[in-house]
Amino acid sequence: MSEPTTASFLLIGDVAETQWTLALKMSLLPLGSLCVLAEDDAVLSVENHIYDVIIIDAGAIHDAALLTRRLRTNRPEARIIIVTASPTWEYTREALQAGAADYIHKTFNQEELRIVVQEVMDKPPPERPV
Amino acid sequence: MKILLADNDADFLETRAEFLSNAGYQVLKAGTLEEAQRILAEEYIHLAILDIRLVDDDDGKDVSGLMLAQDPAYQHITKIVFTNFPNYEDARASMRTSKSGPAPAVNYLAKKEGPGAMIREVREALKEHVRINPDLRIRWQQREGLHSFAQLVGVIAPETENGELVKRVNELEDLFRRLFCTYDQITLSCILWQKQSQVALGIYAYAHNHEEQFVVVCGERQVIQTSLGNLAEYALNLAKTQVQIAEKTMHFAAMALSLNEVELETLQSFATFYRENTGQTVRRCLDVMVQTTLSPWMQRTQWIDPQVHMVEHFRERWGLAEPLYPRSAFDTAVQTLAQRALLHNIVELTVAPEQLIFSFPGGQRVMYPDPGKLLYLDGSIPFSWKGVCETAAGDLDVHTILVEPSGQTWITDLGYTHMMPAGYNLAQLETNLRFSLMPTDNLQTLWNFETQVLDATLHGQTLRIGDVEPSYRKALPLIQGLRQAAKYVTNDSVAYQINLFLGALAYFVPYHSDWDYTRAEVAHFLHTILFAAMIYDALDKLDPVSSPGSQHQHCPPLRVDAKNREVWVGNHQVMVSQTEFDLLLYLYQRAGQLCRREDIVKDVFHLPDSSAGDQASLINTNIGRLRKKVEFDTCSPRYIETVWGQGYKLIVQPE
Repeated sequence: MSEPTTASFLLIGDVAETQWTLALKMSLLPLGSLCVLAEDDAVLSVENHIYDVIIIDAGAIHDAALLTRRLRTNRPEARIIIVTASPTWEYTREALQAGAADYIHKTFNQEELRIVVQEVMDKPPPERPV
Repeated sequence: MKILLADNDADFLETRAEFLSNAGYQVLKAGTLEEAQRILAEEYIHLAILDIRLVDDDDGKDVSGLMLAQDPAYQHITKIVFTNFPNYEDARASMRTSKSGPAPAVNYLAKKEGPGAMIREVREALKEHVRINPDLRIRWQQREGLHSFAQLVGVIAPETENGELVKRVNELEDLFRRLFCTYDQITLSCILWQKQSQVALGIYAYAHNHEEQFVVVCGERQVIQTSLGNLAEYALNLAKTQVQIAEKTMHFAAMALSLNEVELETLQSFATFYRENTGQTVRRCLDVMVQTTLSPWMQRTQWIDPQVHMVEHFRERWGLAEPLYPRSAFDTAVQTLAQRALLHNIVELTVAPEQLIFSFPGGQRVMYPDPGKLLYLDGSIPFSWKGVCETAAGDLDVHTILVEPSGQTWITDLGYTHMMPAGYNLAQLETNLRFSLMPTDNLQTLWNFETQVLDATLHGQTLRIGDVEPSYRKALPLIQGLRQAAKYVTNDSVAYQINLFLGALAYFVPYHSDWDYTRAEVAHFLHTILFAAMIYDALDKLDPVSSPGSQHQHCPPLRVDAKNREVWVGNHQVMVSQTEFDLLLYLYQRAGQLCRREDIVKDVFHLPDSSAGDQASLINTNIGRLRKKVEFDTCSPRYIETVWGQGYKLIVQPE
């Protein structure tokens, strides 16, 4: 009998566990497993491993849009969500033009987080040129 | 480039439109939501710039422009949304990917960013997303009458109204400018083939003086996109890599196929090759086609799906199913065809209850069962095969298969790449050959030929060229070659004949009772009906199980060929894994005898006695898999019997 498939998620940000990363982990539990890596390790990991969704904590990264472009160079089909505590329309544009599938306001609501991730999983990856 | 600019602020609209015009763009202005909708629906534009608040600037809830951008009907148009009130939520809604496909817009601008920013972003959007090369040089070689995009629109979309023609021509030209956006020049050489809503062109493309050659298949967008979807899902990697580029516009789409190291100028269709070459040369070409072009498709793993009613699938595919083609329409068509046959003095066709009687001018009279009776039998046409399927390489057609002088062939119409019964491609090719290339000027000699071929098939014999009329000496080796190849692939002659039966009727479907036809056309349709009736008659002899009305109680014998490691149920080979084969062989070598579970575990799976739990699971799983593959009904297995509490017994020929 084959094992049911579970999704694989990557959070790129601060590897020290925070309240938010815990909320994210709990929200994704029904869908799959979450791996947390710092930026450089994450870039290497994405080269060798396919994640269903990659989540970037913009607050812990120097430039999330640039990181998105970098990740999509090796994985054009990557589904990336950028999470930020203070979204602006200018950075929303920049992030989504870089090829992120979504750019969301950081929330602790597990249901909201799960819905956003599920929606991104259900959609085709962005068609934006890398 | 044509740009739609939509804003309900009249002054802003005029000002920004002027900036765009000065930048070299043709601007269509829309001052209302309705006007914007009309232009999106009716005009051919390259880019749309939509204000978010298209109804009321003072209403914070007005997102009418955004909703227009999100409308799936305009998904194919590149859009930019702009606003006087930029905010995170609207930016996100405008630019994140939607469920059905791309994001509603490729950019989100604030009006306060100024006209310079708008022009810059428009240029960027056109370059990155619209990707039309306005500098691409387009040259027409004017071979075989190919001379303009207007001509191509006439071929692909002949129903285009006069008022729309110019827009469609511009759109088709843009499609080619997108397809070859990285090249400096294309030379359109010739039409290689054309069929409903599609055309294949030979094209030379140049970039930095380097020449590449392509076969470009273009047509109605839905048709080409379906082809690409089928390719992505079913095709071999080899076929997928043939498609170098693909693009689409509102109404059209195209894919460019690269045929490695082939000179376009030497390519011709198989139909032309057949007419211009000797029988021997054509037979050699067919052998090459089967052994090299088709072989990789036929060697893909076959699978069996007993749930699949392939005959029903074919009825739908070829428009032979009710209510599209009801029995009454079929009967009327046959009757009017009979009248026309008499008028043209081809044959006297009498339509009797459940029978067709052909009385040839020479006096010979033959009677066959009415093919309509088998075609419209309630439920699936019964016959004893188990749904052995493979991936078929599209619809093989002698007009779309391309041949180069060496005899190498290329399949270029991959639109209907799909799961099909094993041997489908070969039966289809035979059908296509029969009804496209064989002469029909004398129905009696045609009937003689078909009778000879059928009789040879029934008796497992091969006809010699000299055995048949000269008119058919070119077709004979091809038909026999295809049937030989089909035997190798499926060894299921019943399924092959069913394919021929339905294929013949598919050629009859276009016959209209109300239209007049030439003598040659009437003869062609008579050939289809006659052949279908002959096949129906032959099916009875090939496989008595397939007789309508007969109850399917007969189980053909099961045979395990240890030397070749093959499993056969009647005439059908069953594909099994190594473990399944070892288990089945073990039971087969002890057919009729009880094989105890503990002996099976020891002799087949080589497990020690202690692993009781593993034993049960392993045996149950493999027996279950075998039953799914060989049994007609896994709930009532007849080959692999369970002896409760003890083991299993194989019955080679169930009663």
